[in-house]
Amino acid sequence: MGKLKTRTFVLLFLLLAAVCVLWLFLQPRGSAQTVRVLLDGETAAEIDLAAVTEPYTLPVGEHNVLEVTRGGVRMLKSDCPDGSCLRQGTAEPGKPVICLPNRVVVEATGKKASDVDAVVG
Amino acid sequence: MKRQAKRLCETALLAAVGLGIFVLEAQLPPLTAVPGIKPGLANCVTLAALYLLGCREAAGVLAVRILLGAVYTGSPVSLLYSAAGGLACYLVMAPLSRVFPSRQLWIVSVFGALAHNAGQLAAAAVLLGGGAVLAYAPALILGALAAGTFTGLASQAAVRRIRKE
Amino acid sequence: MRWTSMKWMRKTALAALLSALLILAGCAPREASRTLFAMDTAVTMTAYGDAAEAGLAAAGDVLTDLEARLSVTRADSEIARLNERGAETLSDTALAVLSRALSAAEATGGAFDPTVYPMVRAWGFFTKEYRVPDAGELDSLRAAGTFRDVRAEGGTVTLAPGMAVDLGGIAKGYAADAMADALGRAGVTSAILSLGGNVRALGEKPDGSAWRVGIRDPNKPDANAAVARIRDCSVVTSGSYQRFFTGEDGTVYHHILDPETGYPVQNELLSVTVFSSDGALADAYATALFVMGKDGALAFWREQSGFEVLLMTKNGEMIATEGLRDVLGDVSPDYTLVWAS
Repeated sequence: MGKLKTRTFVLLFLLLAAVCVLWLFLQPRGSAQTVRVLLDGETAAEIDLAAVTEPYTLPVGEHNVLEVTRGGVRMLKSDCPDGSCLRQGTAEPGKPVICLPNRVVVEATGKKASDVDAVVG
Repeated sequence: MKRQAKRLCETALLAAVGLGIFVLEAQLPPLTAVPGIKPGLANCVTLAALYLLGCREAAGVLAVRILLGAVYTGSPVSLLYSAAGGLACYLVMAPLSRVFPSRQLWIVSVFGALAHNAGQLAAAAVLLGGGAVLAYAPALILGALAAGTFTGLASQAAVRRIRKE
Repeated sequence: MRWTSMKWMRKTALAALLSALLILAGCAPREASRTLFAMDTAVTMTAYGDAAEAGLAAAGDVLTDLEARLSVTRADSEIARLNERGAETLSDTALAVLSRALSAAEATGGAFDPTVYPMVRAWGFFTKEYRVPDAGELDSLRAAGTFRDVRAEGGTVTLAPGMAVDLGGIAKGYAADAMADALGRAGVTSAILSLGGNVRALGEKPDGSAWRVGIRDPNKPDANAAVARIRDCSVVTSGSYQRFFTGEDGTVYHHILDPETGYPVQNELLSVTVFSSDGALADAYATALFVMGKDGALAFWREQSGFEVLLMTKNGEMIATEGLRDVLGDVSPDYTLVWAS
């Protein structure tokens, strides 16, 4: 085995970075339609955003509270030490809101739970 | 005997420095909304231990940091993430540190950072039960590349200075 | 040697970045969506096609402009000033909405009346500080005047003392039409707008199928009682379940007031859904038909044209008018579908 060239690794890392940038861009986007809330890996709630007429809050377990509006779902309260889930904004397809310490995942998909385009009432 | 005592002393010293850096870093506000993206400055010390002392000592430095770090900063859950990341990181860096000379130390650091984040991601996937966290993978890899390079270069400078290379 | 290798590295990095950008451009979305808050509700707009973004921007501007002119809660809106001073020279836009409201009031014999506002306010439906006003208070508010006492000469509108108007009962429907027009002018042929459950479809879906609009089940907040397939149409629902409170006496009071009495309408209806290509009409008539009750609403539908009606009653009936035969589907088994002709 010859000497390991620094250049090889610089290139390798750059390539990896490029792939990741690509990966980020290629993640499915678009607006959220259905939001699934997981607590300890179990589905705690499934929300069809089109059916949300009035904003409301949704407690998840004992430690987290979500805010649900027609525009999406975000973490409103969490007692986790770093509170990073509070800064993750609204869950979007490919951009879940995750509270690691409390094991809460808010996952959004562009797929509609029901097959309607809008809801009245 | 004297030599062993010196080594033990040096290991303890590095462990203390590592723990100090770790606790300090935990006080900093998070850089991004993605959890897990952080400078990981304490890894400098693990790296330095690998190069200056040896694999066994470095393992000790890391173990002390993870266990006591959790006592100072976190919860049982954060200990789990920390341990998963630290273990993966160590398992990658220890053999690599025997292959790469100190002037390529930063490369070891980048691989370590990648392994660290991969380990944490895997732990999160298991704990949270689902692939949703995988959405963080590209951001975490990018973070690892940046943080690994930075801490690696810092550690490399320190190691080479201490060895008077 | 060193330099060349650096150059090579840079080229590689550049190539990787360029290809990333190219792929990104290729995936540019043909669908654009936007949510904003106006008229006391969340407004969701989704448009398709190349003009989608521009169309949504134009539609958003139309909505913001109407909101700024018509809102009763913004002290500087034209309508707020009219209510404050009792007389005001209105812009053509505000005047157009007011005259639509007055003609809807005329057509429904006052079942829809934009001048019920002081009574709605007395119940606390605007501030959400709910209370039950006594009959004397409601009578005196009513005595101040009805829609017939709104005088418009030129661009100047005058109210009788003590009167106030709220165009909220027609503004969302009117705005939906104006926004659809703005989208059309921008070149959008396919879009769906939802203004707090007031839905306006522009054209049809990009794949050529009809838009599917769920009609909420008054008894189950997260379920649909039926699905309507519509093209170029507005759908508006008025329901007693949409806003209500429980008084100290344990009675549930909802927000649809009978303009005659000032009390919440008590009849067999849970909700009224009106379908029309005219969004303002659909909005105003949904309220009016609720006030009229089942028989009144169906009689009104028989003598008028330009809209279709779906009624949901407390005893589980879903009464649909003839024109909805090709529109209505997926009716929930909780309801008995009855066709009216």
